[in-house]
Amino acid sequence: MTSETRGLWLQYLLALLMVLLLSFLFAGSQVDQDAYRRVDTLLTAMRDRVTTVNQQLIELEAATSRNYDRLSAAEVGLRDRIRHLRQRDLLTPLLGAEGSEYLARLENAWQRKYRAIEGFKARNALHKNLIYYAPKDIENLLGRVRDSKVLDSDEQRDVENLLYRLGSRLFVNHGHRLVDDFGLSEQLVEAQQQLVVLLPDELQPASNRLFERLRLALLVEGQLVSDLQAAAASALDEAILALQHRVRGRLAEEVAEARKYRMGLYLVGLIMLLYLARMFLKMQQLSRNLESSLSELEFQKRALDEHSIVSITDVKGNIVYANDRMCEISGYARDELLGQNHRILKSDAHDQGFYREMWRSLVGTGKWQGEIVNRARDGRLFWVATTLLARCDEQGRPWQYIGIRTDITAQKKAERDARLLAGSRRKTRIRYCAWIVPDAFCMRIPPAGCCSNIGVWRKTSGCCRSGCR
Amino acid sequence: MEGLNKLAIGLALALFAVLAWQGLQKEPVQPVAPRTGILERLERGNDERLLQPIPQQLELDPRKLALGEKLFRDPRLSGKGISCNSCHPLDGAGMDGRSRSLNLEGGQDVMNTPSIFNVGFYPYLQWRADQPDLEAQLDAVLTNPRHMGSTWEAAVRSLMADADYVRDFEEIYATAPDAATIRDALATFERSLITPDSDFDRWLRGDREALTERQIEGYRLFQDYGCASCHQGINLGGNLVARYGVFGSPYKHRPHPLNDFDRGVASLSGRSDDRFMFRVPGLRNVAVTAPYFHDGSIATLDAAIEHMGRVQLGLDIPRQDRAALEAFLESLTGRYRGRKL
Repeated sequence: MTSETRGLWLQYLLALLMVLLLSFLFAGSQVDQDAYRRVDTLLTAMRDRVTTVNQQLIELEAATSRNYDRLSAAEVGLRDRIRHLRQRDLLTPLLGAEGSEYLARLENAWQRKYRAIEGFKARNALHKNLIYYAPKDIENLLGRVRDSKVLDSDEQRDVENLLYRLGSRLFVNHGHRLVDDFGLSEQLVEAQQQLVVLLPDELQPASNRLFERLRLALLVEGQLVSDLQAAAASALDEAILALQHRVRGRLAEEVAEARKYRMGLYLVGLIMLLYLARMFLKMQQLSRNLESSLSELEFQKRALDEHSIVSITDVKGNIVYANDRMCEISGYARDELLGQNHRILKSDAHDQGFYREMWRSLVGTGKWQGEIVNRARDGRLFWVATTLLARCDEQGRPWQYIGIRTDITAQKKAERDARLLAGSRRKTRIRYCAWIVPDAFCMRIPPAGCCSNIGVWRKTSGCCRSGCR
Repeated sequence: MEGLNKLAIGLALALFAVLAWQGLQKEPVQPVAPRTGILERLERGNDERLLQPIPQQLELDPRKLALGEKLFRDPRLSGKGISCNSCHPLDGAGMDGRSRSLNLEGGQDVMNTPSIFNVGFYPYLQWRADQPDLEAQLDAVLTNPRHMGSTWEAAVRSLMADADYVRDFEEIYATAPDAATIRDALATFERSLITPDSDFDRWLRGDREALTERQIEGYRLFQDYGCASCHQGINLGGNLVARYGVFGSPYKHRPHPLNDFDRGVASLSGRSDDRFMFRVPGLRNVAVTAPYFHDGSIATLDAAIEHMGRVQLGLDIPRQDRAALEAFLESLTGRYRGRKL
């Protein structure tokens, strides 16, 4: 592993760590306020119902007759909400195990209140009836005493007085309350005993029923007060309130905790922002550098194109680039050159060994330099001093070749002319040789001393067969 | 430099992913659904009158009602050949007319079958007020070996075999039938079983011709005798638990022997305070739901009125008053789907 790839891996690891840190901070900074709000709304609704229940209870106690439906509806509303809290398990995500303790306390308080309310409802209805009928029973008895044939007027008056006194003693409180004080129970017993003596047998059952009713009413009334106290007791309201306080407190705690995480989130966010800004600046710098390098290169390329014949081929020798001078010297249009194999310029003037040597150098060292004669489109031959370079991929395999050439035809011509000139001053055998290639200078350059042994050269090269004599 | 670019893009993408994930995690806020719609409405309403007419219409999902009715009449729920409709016939008065309901062994059960009509207005159900609502009541009846003797698993299995049911449940609840959805469909249907437009309700709404002289006299007596202390509210009862037999034993006339259930709520709670406490039955449609009381021991309305006067009020109600009261109670018979019960 090179140091560069190691650096890259380190960066990826760092990025991963940053993301994990961010997720952690983000998760910590979130508070599910909806869950709290839901429970809070529920608890507020429950407290409303408790208030309604208590209000209804007090009104019931005071009224003579009343519809219980609203009380029942408030009870059901309360019961359903407590059950909702239990079934949806709304408290556990907020308060954990503590939540079930609060819920148990709530349910317990509700059970007690519910039982007390039902007890109060039943006894209140009963009490209302008993009280309602007590005066009627007295009236009824009075009527029957007046109608009685058995009693004389004195006895009738005694009974009437007794019953009037009893009535006024009983219903001091506007007729819907007996108040068991100042020995009312004892007075009732005393009155009943007096009536047993005073009344004839036929009126005894009516009298007994009156006292039974009154005693029952007193008994129920005694329980009614404690029932009302139990039913309107504040235990449930306190339990709801305690839970609501706890839930709100927990929300505040969570929000405070989330604030810490949020600070961390801001900090990391700031660091990332700075990092990104730095990177942006760096990239800008980079692009500026690239631009200037590019224009420099552009300039150099233009200079090269002005001076040299440049072509690029792929690894199979197909031309992928040719500059203007290349087109000019070869006589081909650029369209004709591109995609064609470089062989179309081959002049057949060089032997196999020449090319073998060239490829060996190109593959071995990646470059080759030498002079080649090529054939233009119109058949004209031209000399170029060539530098070939191989462009290799990452595995070191060549995938493009670039050729940079300089036209040296004129130079070659001059050389030949000079040689001819020199030869003309020497013996005829040399003149022969130069002479045989009249206009297109022999493309295979006769090796040094060729002309001294023209026969040998002719045999091996096959060139100048027609010309050499 | 390339590495840094990748890092920046990676970080941005990861941050976005985390945010999106967090966004997806958040479930939508569910409002606390008040389930017992009718009682909630009563709670909101301001009608303090002692007696109220039954609403003429309820807004309930018609698809659930159709499905609920199909379930109500389907004996496959019990797997024993009986449906809800067997004991609560809708073409009758919503109860079987027997003094005590039949149990699965063919013998008599312990209690009189109450009518299913107007059952949605009760804050609690059963003679001993031991079921808080229709859903709980359904659980109790379906799994009671003496009544429907089934289990939810068996009921769901038998419904799953019916492609029509599966399709209906998919349409309405977007789920296959299960205990909760069957309960909901049935309970919704039961809440829709109301009997509005009785003569008395029309009179309460202002139609002065709806009651006869005698019935109005009966209504006056109903309040004067104190019947209305307990039989009040929309259903003329059913919203409180009261002692049966204030003046002496209520069982003196009983032909069959007493059992544990005759102790009322005490048979469940074991508290001596709860002895002979029963839920006050509603008086809607009372004229057509004989026989009367939790033990079905009294066959006629007149005898029931006499019995109530004796054991609850300590009075012997005279014959002509009883007749007027009976006439009034007959005016409480309502209509189900336009048909007088």
